[in-house]
Parts: sequence; C-alpha cells; structure tokens
Amino acid sequence: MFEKLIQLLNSGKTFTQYELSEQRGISPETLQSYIEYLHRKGLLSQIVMGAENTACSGSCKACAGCKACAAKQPSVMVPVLWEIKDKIEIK
Amino acid sequence: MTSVSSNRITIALLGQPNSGKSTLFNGLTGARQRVGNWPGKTVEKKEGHFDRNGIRYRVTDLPGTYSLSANSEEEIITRDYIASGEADVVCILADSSQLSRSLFMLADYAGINCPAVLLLNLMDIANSQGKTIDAAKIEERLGIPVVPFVAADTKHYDAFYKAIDRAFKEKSIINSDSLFAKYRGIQDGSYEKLLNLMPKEGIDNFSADWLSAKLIEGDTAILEKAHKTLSFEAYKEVQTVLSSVQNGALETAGCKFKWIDELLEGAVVQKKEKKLLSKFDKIATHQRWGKPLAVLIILLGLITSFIPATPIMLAGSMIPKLGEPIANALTVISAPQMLINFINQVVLNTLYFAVAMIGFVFGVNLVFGFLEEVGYMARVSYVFDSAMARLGLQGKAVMPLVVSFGCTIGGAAGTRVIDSWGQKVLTIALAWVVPCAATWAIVPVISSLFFGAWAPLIIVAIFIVAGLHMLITAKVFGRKLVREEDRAGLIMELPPYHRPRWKALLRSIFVRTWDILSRALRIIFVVSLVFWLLTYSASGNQEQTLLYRFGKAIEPVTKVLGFTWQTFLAYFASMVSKEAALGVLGSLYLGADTLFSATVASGGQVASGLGSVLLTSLTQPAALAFIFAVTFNAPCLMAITSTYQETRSLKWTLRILGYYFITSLLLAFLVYHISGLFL
Repeated sequence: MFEKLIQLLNSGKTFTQYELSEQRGISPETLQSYIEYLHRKGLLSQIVMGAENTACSGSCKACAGCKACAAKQPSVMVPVLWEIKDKIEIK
Repeated sequence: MTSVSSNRITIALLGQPNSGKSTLFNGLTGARQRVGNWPGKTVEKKEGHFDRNGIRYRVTDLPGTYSLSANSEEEIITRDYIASGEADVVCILADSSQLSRSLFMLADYAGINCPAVLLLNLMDIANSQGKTIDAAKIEERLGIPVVPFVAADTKHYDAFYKAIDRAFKEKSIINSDSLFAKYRGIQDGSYEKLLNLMPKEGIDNFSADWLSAKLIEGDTAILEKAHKTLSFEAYKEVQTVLSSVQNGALETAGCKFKWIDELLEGAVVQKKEKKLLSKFDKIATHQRWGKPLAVLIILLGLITSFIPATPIMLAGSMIPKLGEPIANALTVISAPQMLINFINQVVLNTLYFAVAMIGFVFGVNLVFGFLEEVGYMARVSYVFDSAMARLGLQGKAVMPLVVSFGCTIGGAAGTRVIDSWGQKVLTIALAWVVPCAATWAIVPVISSLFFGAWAPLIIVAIFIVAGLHMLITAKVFGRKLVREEDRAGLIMELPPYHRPRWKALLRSIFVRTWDILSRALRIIFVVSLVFWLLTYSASGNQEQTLLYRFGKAIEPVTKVLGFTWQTFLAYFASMVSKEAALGVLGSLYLGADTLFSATVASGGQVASGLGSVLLTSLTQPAALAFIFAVTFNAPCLMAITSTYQETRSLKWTLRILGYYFITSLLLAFLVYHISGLFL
C-alpha cells in the first residue's frame, strides 16, 4: 500500500504515474487517489510550472520578457510533478 | 435521535468538494433555503426543506471536505454535526466518474452509527467515459441503499427519495466489518488494544471501531473525547498504546483504500480504451532507449525544419538585390547619399535576416509545438531524469532546463521550484548551455549560408557539444554548489498521448513565431543602425572611423581565436542578445564596401548582397567558430539579469558569466583550428 509507494519514492528516483501503477498493480486512477491523499496530508508537494511561476510569478513588475504570459503558458510545457517532502520512515 | 418523528426527517448532505452537493441541495430545496453560519464559526451553513407525501424533509448541506479527520474547521463542523445525531440520514455523495478517489469519504464514514445512503452522482459522465457501475453489487456489499444518480437532473430524484425513506426505516448502517478486519492488521495489533479500551457502545454516534481508528490516526480531538469519557487508567493505557504507533494515518488510509478497491472490484467495468501508442510509449520512456530516441526525435525535428525553411531563406537572399534598383531610383531623384546607404545597409539588411530566419523559426516551433501537443515532450523530461542525477541535480531541475529550450530567462525563473540554493545556481549555470529559441533563429541562417546542405550536421554537432558542455560545467561548478544530498523522490504526471488540436497548436505557433521574429527585427534593426552610424564616414572611407581602428587593433588577438574583428564584435554583441550578432555582422561587413561602391561605382557590391559579402569575407572554419562561440556564449543580457535576480549573488552571476565568456572563446579557438584541418 502506502508503505511500498513511499519506499519507492524514498529511493530518490523519478517515476511516471504509469510506471508506479504498474509496479503497484493498481489502476492509475487509484494511484491518483493515493497521490491526492498524500498531498492533502502534506507528504507530497505538487510542483506545477505554469506561466505564473516562471519568469514573472504573474507580476508585471518582475517582467523579464520571457513572453510566457502572452502565450498564456511557459515557453515550453512541462509536466506536473509530485515531490516527496522529507523521507518518511516506514517500518 | 432528536428529530425522529413520523412526519419529519432530517437529511445531511456529505461529500468532497465538487461531488455535486450544492446541485443536489438546490435541486431538493429550491427557494426554500436559509443561509447562515455554523454557530461560532465563519463557515457557511446552508439549510432548507422540502415536503413529500406529508413528510417534511429538512436538508443540511455540510461543508465540502475530503475526509472526517480534524484537519480543518470544515471537517470538525461536519464531524460534530454527525456526532450530534441531528441528522436521521446522511447522504454521502461520490463522483462516479472517479469512484476510487471520491469514496474515501465513505470509507472515513464507515463506523459511524448513523443511517446512510450512497449517491453515485455524475453517473452520466461515468457512462460517457465508458464506465458501467453495478450499484446493486455495491449496495449488497455495503448494506446501505446505493443510488446511481445525476444531481443536475432534478426531474428524476425518485430513486433518491425512496432510498432516503428506506435508509430511515431500516436504519441502514454501512457494513464495515471487512474494513475493521484490516485495521486489526495495523502495527502490533494497536487497533485491537484500543478497541478493548473504548466504551462498547462508542461515544455519541461514533462506534468504538471508528474511534479506535481515529486514535491511531493521531486525531487529537478524539483523544480529548476519550480523555473525558474514559477512566484515568484506561486513558493512560490508550496513551501507552498510541506511543508505539507510527504513521498511523497512513496505515488506516491504506486500509481504507484497500477496502474501497475490494468494494469496487467487479462492480466498475471500464470499457477498454484503445491504447493510443502504448507500444511506442514503452520505448519512449524506456530506461535505455528513451534517451537516444528523444535525441533522435529532437534532432530530426530540427533538421526537418530546414525543409520548409530553405526555400524561404533563398527568397530572403533576393532582398539585398533590391538595393541596386532602389539606389538607382533614389539617385535619380537626388536623394541624400546617407539615405540610400541607410536603406541598403540597415533596412534591407534587417529584412534579409528576418526573411531568412522566419522559415526556421516557424519550422522549429511547428515541430516542437507538435511534439509538445501530442504529449511527447513530457516524456523527454522524464527520460533525462537519470542524466539530471549524473549532473548532480535534483529530478525537478529538468523542468527549468526544458523551459530554457524556449527561453533562458524562463528557465532561470523556473528554478524557483528548487529549494536548495546551490542546486538552484547549478541549474541556472547549466540552463545557460541549453540553446534557446533565439539560437535556433540565427544559427541555421548562418549555417545554411556557409554550409548549404551540410547545415543540419552543425545542429547535430551543437547538440553533442551541449551535452559535453553540461557534463564539464556540472563538474566545474558542482563541487562548490552541491553537497552530497539526497534526491527527493518524484512522481511525474505524464499527459496521455492525444491527437493534436491543430487550431490551437497553429495559433500558439504563430504567436511564438511572431514573438521571436518581431523581437529579432527590432534588435537587428537597432543594432544595425547603431553600428552603421559608428562606422559611417562621410568621406566614404570607413577605415577612418574609431570602431574600425579599434577593430583592426584587436584583430591580431581575435585572429588567434578564430575571429575577424567583425565577427568578434558580433560575438560580443551576442551577449546582449543573440539576434544582435546578426545586426553587427551585417553592418560591419556591408559597411565600407557598399559605401564605397554606392558612391563611387554603380552599386555592384550592393547587388551582390550581404550573403555573398559574408561568404567572400569569412572562411568556413571562421564561420563555424563564430557559430559555436555565439551559441555557447552567455544567452543574453536579460538572462544575466534574471540569473542575478534568482541567485541573489553578484559573485556567482559574474562567475557564471566569466566562465561562459572564456569557454565560448576557447570553444571557438578549438573549432576554428580543428575544422581548419579539414575544411
């Protein structure tokens, strides 16, 4: 269950959601509910890199001219990441 | 229960946010609702009623929460309300389109002694996703009424009404035995020990099982409740048991998810979707083959963009030929010579480059936009994760690096997702290596001019050098910046492959192309103008100008590195912006010759155009050295500024800047002398 998932993440590697659901033998949807649960518990943090947190953080004062806002997206789209916060000890 | 009477039933609506609670509440009560606050709280309380068959149904819309823990004010209100026994039937709403996710609330409710009904809301969406849900099977397993439901369809609430009445009459409580059995397996039987210490009948509406599970989760409000209810000894014992429990919340959550899985097993059938490109994805995300495939696809993409670009570039080379007729026409109407020169050397020059690069810019954006749109670019980020580790970077550093492919400024700013300062600085230092969109606008133009059909090979070479550059740069800076530290595990959410939405794709490509092009036009024009003025001499003898004399003075040194004084100044300008290099190159090379030819001869050199002037003035090794020097120079002034903004360290900004200045010159030197052996 969570132990295995957390152990995998404790290894410091990067996994795709497909890879994890295959390894854990669960559907991607179930995995998504695990991820959301761990996120709500504050154990996983979500990293989204949209236009708002690239060059300007939405502030025109900090405009560095990357044009991300004009296209309403960063110059290159990047996937959503979930990062395990601190290593969680699992018995 | 307080409100039990034959003609009055109280219903509470319970569910996660977006489960459709409000829609149902409005559908049931219409205008008969009252909005206030929960006593002593800022959370909104919505109550209403409806009458049916002589019975008044009072409806309370509980705050939308994900669980019944005590994480937030909303959750505590919800829990206290249910514990109070005010509701006769609790209506739990779940989103049928994502059942395993939204049933967590049901699992958290299991063990509460209040009759319940499960509404499988948004059934229409689940059906449209190809899901068939066997509500009867779930009902059989749960022991409470389970209703397939569409809250928005207010005309078909009959099954819902019947279920409420049935749950009320039969006092149907969720069958939670198998969930409790799972709890028993938690860490040294802590659950069982706690269960034995709890009052048999539970506290309020909470069963002893539910309370024990919550205690394991570390729920302080329930511990307080236990404190008030239990004897001193029993409470002490509870504390002893709890002191040995670790990650209790994770343990019980694990049990709940497992229970949900079993509950849904065989009850939810998903029509198998045709897996688009699943075989391809196996290779695309493969440990070993993913990387070479990604490099191959990116290279092919860049090379493919030469195909539409080449004819456009040839058309661009016709522009300087307009110089002669324009010069002649202007001479006829006795326009000032300076205007003729200005048009020839600044305006036509700018247009020439603009047209020459438009094809590449469009091609590159098309290819990468397409790869991004179908979902492949996300895979590229994933396969380079192991490379990140080798460079000493965290996994998430791949995101700023990928963004740098578009714009280094965005990449530098993107390092805000990285917490460690050293990691951040190293990531920015490496992001400078990644060739940005402007590089792909100017490098192909010069490469095609000097190397024709071989130009794509230069793109390949740039990629190889970029890879090596990153390895070396990470070695150089890594030692000082990155301690041996643990990499945090990551889950990367890859988007499913999908067909491109051409309309949106094309629009975004046009926006990007125009952005790059208009920026390039402005910069090339201004830089051309400045350098044209700097080298302008009324006598027509450029050699008298200060810049020319300066250039000639430094040339002995730049020659060793593979630069003429003109290309060296252009290289220097590329530190301000890559496009500026073209402006400088154009002005300096067209300068004297055309001035001379336009005033003395009849514009012969003008007609031959900038392209041929460059070809006759620069050797292939010199051009190659220039291409590499500009590509791996500091990206642009804005990127330098944003590096300072993000690192907040002038020392490191200057250090990185100095490093790139020296390494790009060194690279030019190497490229010039090595290629000189062959070309």
